[in-house]
Amino acid sequence: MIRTVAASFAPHLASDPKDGAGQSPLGELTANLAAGSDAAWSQFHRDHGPGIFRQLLAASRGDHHLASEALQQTYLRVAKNVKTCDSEAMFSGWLRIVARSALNDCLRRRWSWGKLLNRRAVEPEGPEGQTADEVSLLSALDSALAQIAPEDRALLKSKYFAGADVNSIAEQLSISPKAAESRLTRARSQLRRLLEAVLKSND
Amino acid sequence: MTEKPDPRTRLIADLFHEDWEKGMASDFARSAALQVRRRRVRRRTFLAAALTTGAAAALAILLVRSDVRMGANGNGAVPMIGPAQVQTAAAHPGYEIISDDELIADLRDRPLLILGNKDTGRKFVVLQPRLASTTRQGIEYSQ
Repeated sequence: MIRTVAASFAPHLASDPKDGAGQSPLGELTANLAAGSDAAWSQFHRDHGPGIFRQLLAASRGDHHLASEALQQTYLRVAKNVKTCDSEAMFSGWLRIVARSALNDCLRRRWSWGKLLNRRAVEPEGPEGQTADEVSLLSALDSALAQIAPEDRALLKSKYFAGADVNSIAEQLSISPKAAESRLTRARSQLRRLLEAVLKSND
Repeated sequence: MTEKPDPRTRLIADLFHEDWEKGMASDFARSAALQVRRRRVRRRTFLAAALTTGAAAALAILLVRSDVRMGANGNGAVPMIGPAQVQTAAAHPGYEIISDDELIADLRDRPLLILGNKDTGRKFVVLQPRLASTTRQGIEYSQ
């Protein structure tokens, strides 16, 4: 199935990894992914991994064990099929399909085929490839964020929404970077608990 | 133009994987990279083996062909059967047509067994061939 998916993108994907060298940053990244470069895979994990995980977590309705398993399968499939690609939209679309397929295979191992088909029937894909599950996950996150303590919310917002690093947060709060890190960890744990509770209540 | 990612995406990743860039999730990326490298090594090894096998097979075929040519007459020419050889073979058939006188001379004073009858066809077998005879010793004569 993945081969078919990869083949459908074939006209836009160069077969030789060297073809991407010296092209766009994405072309270079994908060429290096195909070459098995550790640095490229770290960059891919940093830049594309969170998006894939979000999609998988939403599709698995908050089952982060299943989402993590599917994430690993997605990476392995990307490793098997990746080719040089210069189009961001095309690469993202391909990743979404690969992730979806990897999750389905993980679900198939757990569920009966009939149950899987029923699930697919009730989850139409939205615009921009964002599924209803993803929209629901993001609104659950917003709802959980609204429920945590204001100082923790401010801390998470400055780290994730304003892009501040731990050192500048520590400076802002006049605490040590280690203390700031530990407060961030606590805030994330609390937010995760709330998010899981919201997702469970949505089900 | 790359679209700016939703900051909530990274927050979600960090919520479930404490250290996204260096924690357990990053192992997935490392093992994927390792898989790619192993696949490339396997592919190269397979190609090298296929090329070596092909070259060895081609060499073996060439050697066998050149052996056949050289073994025939030592000058590389393909051995041909000429008209003289065909004539020689035709001059030594597996039978001989003899005259009645020769037949009578061959059978003189020798016991003869006649098998069959007129309807089924007779077969004449010489029971005690002459020891000195070399050419038609033990010949069966059929009618």
